[in-house]
Amino acid sequence: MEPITFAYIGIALMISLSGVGSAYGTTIGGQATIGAMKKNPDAFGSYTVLSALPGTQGLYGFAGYYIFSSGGVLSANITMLQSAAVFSGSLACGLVCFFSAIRQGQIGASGIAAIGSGHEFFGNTLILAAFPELYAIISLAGVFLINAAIV
Amino acid sequence: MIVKMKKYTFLVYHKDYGHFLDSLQEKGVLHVKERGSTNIEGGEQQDKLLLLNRIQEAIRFLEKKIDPNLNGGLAPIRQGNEILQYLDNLTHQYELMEQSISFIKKDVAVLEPWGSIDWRTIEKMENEGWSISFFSAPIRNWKPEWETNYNAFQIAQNSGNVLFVTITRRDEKFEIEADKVNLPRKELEVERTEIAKLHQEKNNIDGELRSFAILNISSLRHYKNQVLQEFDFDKVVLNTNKVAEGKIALLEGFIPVDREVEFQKFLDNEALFYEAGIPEVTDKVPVLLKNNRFARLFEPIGDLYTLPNYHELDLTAFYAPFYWLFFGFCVGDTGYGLVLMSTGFIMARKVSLRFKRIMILLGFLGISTILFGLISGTFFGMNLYELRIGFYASLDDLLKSKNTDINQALFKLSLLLGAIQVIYGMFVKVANEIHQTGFRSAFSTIGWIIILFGIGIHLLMKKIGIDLTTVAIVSGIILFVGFLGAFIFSNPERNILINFALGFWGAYNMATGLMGDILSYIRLFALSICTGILGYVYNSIAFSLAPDIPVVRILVIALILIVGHSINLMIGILGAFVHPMRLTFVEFYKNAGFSGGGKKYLPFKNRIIN
Repeated sequence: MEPITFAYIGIALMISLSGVGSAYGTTIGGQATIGAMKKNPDAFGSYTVLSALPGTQGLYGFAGYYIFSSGGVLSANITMLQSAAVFSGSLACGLVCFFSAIRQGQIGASGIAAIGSGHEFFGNTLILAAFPELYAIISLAGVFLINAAIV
Repeated sequence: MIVKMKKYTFLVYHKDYGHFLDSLQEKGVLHVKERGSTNIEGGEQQDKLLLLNRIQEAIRFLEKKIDPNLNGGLAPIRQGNEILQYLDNLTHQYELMEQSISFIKKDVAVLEPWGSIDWRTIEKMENEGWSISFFSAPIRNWKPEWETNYNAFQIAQNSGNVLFVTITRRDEKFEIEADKVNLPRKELEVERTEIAKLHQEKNNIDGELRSFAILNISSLRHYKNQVLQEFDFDKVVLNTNKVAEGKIALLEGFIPVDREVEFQKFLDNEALFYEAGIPEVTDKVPVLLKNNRFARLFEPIGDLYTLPNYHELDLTAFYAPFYWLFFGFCVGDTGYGLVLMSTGFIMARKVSLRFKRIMILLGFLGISTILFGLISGTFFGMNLYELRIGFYASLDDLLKSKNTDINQALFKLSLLLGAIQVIYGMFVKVANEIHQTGFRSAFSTIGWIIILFGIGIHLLMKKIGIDLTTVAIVSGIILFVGFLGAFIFSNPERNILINFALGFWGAYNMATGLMGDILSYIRLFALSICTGILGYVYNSIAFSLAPDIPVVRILVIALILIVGHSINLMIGILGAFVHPMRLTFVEFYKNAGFSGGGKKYLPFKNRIIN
């Protein structure tokens, strides 16, 4: 396998896994919102914010691709070492974003359900929902550092 | 800053208590101390709560019905409960109309494919011993012999099915490969007319509701305040202690110190005994915040988490500048910042008082966004460093000469800001500990701050090139002083040896906690580049997708740019709102020793504004 192919497989995994994770995460929040609207339709603004939170992981996957692309490492002259670094960084970022987005969506859904039942948990849910995202951010930071090391 | 409170205890003769509470409610400054959890299940209070919910739902319903172009023909109803009753009747009638329309529509849907059926003729035939049956079958199943065997007549074809009628003798039993249809014995035209009539009646009721809303919504709001006032009054009565065989009522409460003088004047005219004093450490004193104009804008953000407890420092003024910076960092685009700033400050003049502060906050956050947009060189997704516009060309050269670029610089800046806020939080913790329990309780935190500075000074001195002996002596002394605070005198009430042992646990927590906390600030950088990247992508899409037709090209580019950047701005604002808030409530509050759990100052006062 050519090193550039290996690198792009990693990129594809990063973008697709992070995007799929965000899709799942926002869907989980959206489904909870429909249910909560039946009990408390006035808090739609809060539901929207909490449902949208898992959307950032998809952006991180895309940002990861941009970091590698703008660094100039994705070219036909890429070495095996560089492509291995791109592949591993991308895989790590994609996997972490995938799972963190889904879990973040689940936290958001719990908060949405609680707000639907009349509890004032918007701020608390926002804080708790940001916890899984830290790891997605660290994985993106890892991509950034890997890129800096191989360029 | 938390406003200082004074604790008041009142002893009032039971016969004067009602009048005293009325005057107290009129005065509207006392926050009544709650006597633990009061059970309102099954009582008058619960009924009032249910009534309040009912009123609130009615107000919400009527607010949607208000049509400012309508002048109501009905006279207003004054009594709150009469308004509710009338509204219930109207909405009940409306719902009945809707239900009836729904039922009739179902019948019409079934009858429509068959057209107008003359049920009188069918009845006559049935009386003469005939049976008329209605069937539906897929067209491919239709058999021509049915016409002769069962006198089948095709009526219509509908969605691949043939609808037909059979006319047979009543005592004739037959099997046929078709589904029998039970039609309601109603005339299609009559049903259609009925639906139109019901729609008209429904519209009339809707019109009546709209007029009703305009005329009565203020009365309903007034009624809500009335019920709330009674509810507050009953709650205070529940929180009153009865002593001396019920002859004396004992009530406790808190008032802000700056309202004390006028309150004392009021009390001097009342026939009661009272005692004023400073709240104790164990008292759950209500919290009233008083901050400068800038910090006050950030109070709603702190409210999303929890109020500080009365005995600790209010951290709003401490985190406000950082939140302001972090928001700008996360969005980090000069163009977006200009949009936010102008929207915020312009809308602040136009919106109601409730949203004015939020708009002003938005305006200030826009300023921070402009600042970081200038630093990161981003303007509506355009990278000014790459485009080498103005002084960004020389800045880009400067960064390249140091073997770095703006992204690397922002990455380090995010960590640096994180380290600054974390260390700043530790200083705030020292102030908090001194404020609550005195200087000795702050030894541990002071010790750790000195250790961290000692490590920093050690590294700095080595980097500058100072000789190792001097470095060792200076940093050694500093670290030793820090060691004394963090390991030996960390808890003045405890044995020194236990302090020393627990100091290692503290060291482990400090090392791992500090690293995790500072790393958490990388999110500022991540959000910033994500916003920039997406803006760049929308710009690329706009210019590459637009067709090469003169005017159309410009329109398509403008449309994609407006829609794309609007979406990017909304996503950016969401992230910039949530993540700095998380950094404040988790990293900063933790390092500042914040406990929270404060109860808001809600004085017992009149709700009805005359």
